[in-house]
Amino acid sequence: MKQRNLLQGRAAAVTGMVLLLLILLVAVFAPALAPYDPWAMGTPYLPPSSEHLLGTNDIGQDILSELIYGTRVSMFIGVCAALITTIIGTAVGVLAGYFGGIVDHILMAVTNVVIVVPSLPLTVVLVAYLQAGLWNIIIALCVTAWAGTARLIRAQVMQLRQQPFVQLERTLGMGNGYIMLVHILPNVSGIILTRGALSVASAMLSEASLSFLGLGALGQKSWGAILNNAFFRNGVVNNCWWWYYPPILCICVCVVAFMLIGSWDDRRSRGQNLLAM
Amino acid sequence: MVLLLQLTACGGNPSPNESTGGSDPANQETATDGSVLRIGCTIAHTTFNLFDQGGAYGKLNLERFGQQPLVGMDENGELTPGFFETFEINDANDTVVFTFPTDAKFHDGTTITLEDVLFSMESWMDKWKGRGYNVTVTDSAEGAITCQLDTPSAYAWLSYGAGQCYIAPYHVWEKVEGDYSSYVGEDAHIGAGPYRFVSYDEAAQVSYYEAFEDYYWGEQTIEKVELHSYSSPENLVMAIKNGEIDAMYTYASPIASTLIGTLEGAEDVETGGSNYSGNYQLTFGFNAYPTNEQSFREAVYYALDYDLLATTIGGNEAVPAHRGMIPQGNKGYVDGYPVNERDLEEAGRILDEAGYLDVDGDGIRDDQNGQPMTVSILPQSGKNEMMSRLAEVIMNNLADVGIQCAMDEDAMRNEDIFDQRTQVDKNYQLYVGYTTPGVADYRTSAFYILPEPYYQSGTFDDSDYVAAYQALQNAKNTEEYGIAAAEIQAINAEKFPLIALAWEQAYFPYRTDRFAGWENWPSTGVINQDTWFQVTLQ
Repeated sequence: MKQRNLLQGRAAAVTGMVLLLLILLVAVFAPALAPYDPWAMGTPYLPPSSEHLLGTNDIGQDILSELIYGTRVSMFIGVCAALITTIIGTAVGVLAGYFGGIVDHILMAVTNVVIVVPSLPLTVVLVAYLQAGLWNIIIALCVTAWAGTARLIRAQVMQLRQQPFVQLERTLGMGNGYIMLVHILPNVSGIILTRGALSVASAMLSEASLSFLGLGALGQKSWGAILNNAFFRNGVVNNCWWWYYPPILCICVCVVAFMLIGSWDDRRSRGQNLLAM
Repeated sequence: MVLLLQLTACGGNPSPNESTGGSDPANQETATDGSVLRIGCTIAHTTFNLFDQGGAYGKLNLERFGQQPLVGMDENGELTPGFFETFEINDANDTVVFTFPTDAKFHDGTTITLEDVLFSMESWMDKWKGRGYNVTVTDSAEGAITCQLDTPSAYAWLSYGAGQCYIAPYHVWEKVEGDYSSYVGEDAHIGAGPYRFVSYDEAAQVSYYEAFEDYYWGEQTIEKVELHSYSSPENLVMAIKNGEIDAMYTYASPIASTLIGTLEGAEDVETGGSNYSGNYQLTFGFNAYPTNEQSFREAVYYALDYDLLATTIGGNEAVPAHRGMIPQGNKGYVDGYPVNERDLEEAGRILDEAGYLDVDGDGIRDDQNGQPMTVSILPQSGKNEMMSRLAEVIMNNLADVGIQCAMDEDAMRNEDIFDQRTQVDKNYQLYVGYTTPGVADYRTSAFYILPEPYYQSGTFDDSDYVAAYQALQNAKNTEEYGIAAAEIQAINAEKFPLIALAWEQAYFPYRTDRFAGWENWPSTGVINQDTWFQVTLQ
């Protein structure tokens, strides 16, 4: 039964990886794949045709080309934000869990405060007040997103530090840094990878939300920005499905891909734990 | 029982924004009352205050609704009687003699007295000063007052000042200290307009009104009115389509042409299209290089794709504007200026001759000293997504002639930075803005580009232009106004201080199944100063 679960998880993960690979290929080869320069302007509001497979937007830009180029911004923001939040969350979780005591109290107090702050409104405010640019959007996305990871890692590390092998390392006089890096981190790698993959999905959704609200990176093509234009320039009420469905679909596929990968890592780590018992 | 009492107590002290007449259920049972005119808007209900012109009620008052304007306007923007039954401007254009009725009443039944008239004039002084009109009441008697201006601009003051101000009851406001527009007492709405405020349903964002039986200046043809607020134009259009409302009113924000298509095929719905007197425009900053250079502005003029801009602004209904800027149909419009047309060769030639060359061979033009040049473009804040889309088109168009532009993202995202840039430093280069119908009809777009004391963020201090605008303000009648407006158009066409991006159609849709007698005023729609006396139940 456990083996069957692991196999199912592996199949899902492979599916996620294939999807992710496809998305990455589209992002890398966007200039070659896009039929038009996504910033070039032609005839506005064209429906799908052989010339423009997904029609044109309100200022005559080819929507398919926008979509292909949008993969780059959405992926870049998603991956960078996830990387930063995972690193911060892991560092805070490991330090708090390993040292405990006052360090744990302080770090968890900060984490708890961050967790209760509504993330999207705070991100919106930060984006509005930070200087414009992709990196500031990433920073704004990271401010609250690390807290969940930190709490999970801390809980796992608190269990690990009671394990005999950690006690033994201490008795042998190994430094705290060495123990955390060499013995603790590998044992929480499953959670880190899972949270990392889910963080990408979460960051991509947040970026899409920001762009939809008109707070994304101006002049950059992202899926959220395409949705923003489709909505506010009346593509939705005029039922221009070719304008708003494709970016929604792209966001869904991307998020599903990362979640499949993340869920497999999760199952694997849970499976390993079960097998080890 | 205790709980019941507490709940009752909660409802016993409504906020000033809530119902003041909600105890009368008859006032709110309008869904089945066929005689109620239901108007929709996209402005939220804020206060019901005579001096607050910002919320849904305040905006509708601009059309002689709950408040009686000092003077009125007809569909062509000509002055008509308001509270003042007659007004006589002297030859020097600096004195106006008004007469008014002595037996007209406010909504609370009190008679309007000379004291109320003098108080009203006094209370609007700051607003008039803000628009450049210093007014003093020099003589007064029952039924007549005389006003003196310190400049010969009485006609302009009546058109753009007195028309948007109302007669106010002194006995209500004498107890109010500080800013009148902040007062939220239950009597803040009392005025002398044709309709009296009854109640407000905050949850539904609907306010209720009834015809004022003692209204002095005419007989209303509609008994009751509801004002519905919607969160977006899309919702408003759907409400008209579904028969939830009969007509719409939103100052300076007609329904976009891209949205009007959703009404296609809808029964008993008219789109209410008309030539729009306002327009989108590109303004050049004269405190910054290179936009203070004639050659650069002229090159930008030729570089823009006006067909694309027109389609972006108004779909198939908008057209490229003319070089003189002022839209056709406006007071003082002069025909004969060429239609704006893209000419990339001409734009390139002008830039080459003026010395904006690509010195380093990177495909981007450098400034006249051979230094890298990036021109900043700033869309006006608070005017929907359209502004940034237009800025994007302009950036793209200018890139076609080698001019590199960058959006002023910091100012776009932050209102404080925006204000600093436009009103304090005044160092913007390209500014995408908008002329509202109110300004277009009585001041022209010139108002927005002249420096202080005319406009806070204006930078075009050309002496001929200032003189032409002053002549416009000093005009004694439509003819003189037209002559001055013609001069403004000539300078616009010659010096390019701003460029009209398109002339568009304004849409104020309405239904024809319940009411008849609609009259669609250009740029205003069917909800206008005459609606209350013309529209009748079918």
